[in-house]
Amino acid sequence: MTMKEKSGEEYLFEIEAFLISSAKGCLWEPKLYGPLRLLTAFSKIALLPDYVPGLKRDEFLLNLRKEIDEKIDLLTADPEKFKEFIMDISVKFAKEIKKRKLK
Amino acid sequence: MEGLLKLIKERRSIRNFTSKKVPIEEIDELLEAARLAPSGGNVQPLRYVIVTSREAIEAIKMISPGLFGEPPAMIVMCFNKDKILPTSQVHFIDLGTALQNILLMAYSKGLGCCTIASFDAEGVAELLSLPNKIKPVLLLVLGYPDGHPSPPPRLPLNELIVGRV
Repeated sequence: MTMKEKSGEEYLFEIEAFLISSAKGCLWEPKLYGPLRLLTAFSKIALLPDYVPGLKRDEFLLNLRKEIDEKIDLLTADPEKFKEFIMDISVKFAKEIKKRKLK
Repeated sequence: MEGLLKLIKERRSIRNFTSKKVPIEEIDELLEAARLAPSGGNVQPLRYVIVTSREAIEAIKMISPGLFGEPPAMIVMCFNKDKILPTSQVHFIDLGTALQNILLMAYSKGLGCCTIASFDAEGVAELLSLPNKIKPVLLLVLGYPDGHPSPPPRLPLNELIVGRV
């Protein structure tokens, strides 16, 4: 089954399964896996518009998703850079909130 | 010997695969290499489930947060609980030695693998209808690599050797 063949309900169910199994893993996995799972969940949620008619694709979120997917291996290669990356994208997100909400 | 060291040096964890299917004979050969690995007390506690069905892989992916990409095949490495002593950790050594045999054999065949420890073991047992005594312990995704990642940093040998007596 390819992604495009899934319905919105199926895709949402998949995200929920990911969240529940991540919650279970977070009980004993290394601390940094928590942020990793949240970023992976972000990546999955950013694709919801592809599966749910009526939801518009958000270019900011999709670009951020691309950046996250490219950098996700940093956790194992360089945990310090992984932390810096999270700091950077949180600032990037704050700037976007400012642009959208505090015009 | 040089050939073996080359395999060890060049092997990488592969998370991105081409869509090419892995012939079942190739997977059997990987498991033959695992079968021949050393086992403490020759107890041989490991058991394997080969997963190549697209639907089963998708279902396992849903409850495996550490599993990225679209692997065409997967080996679920399991312990036979009847064969392990709860007071001993030696079965984990068996797991490691069998795993390394598989990883090197796979690389020598042009296959890529990645071990996944972040998954819901009880959930996978349920999905695969495994008997109670068979406990999943590692997922090993495999396929033909799409790219060859750079090596991660390793500590120099002089930091690892803490004594020469």
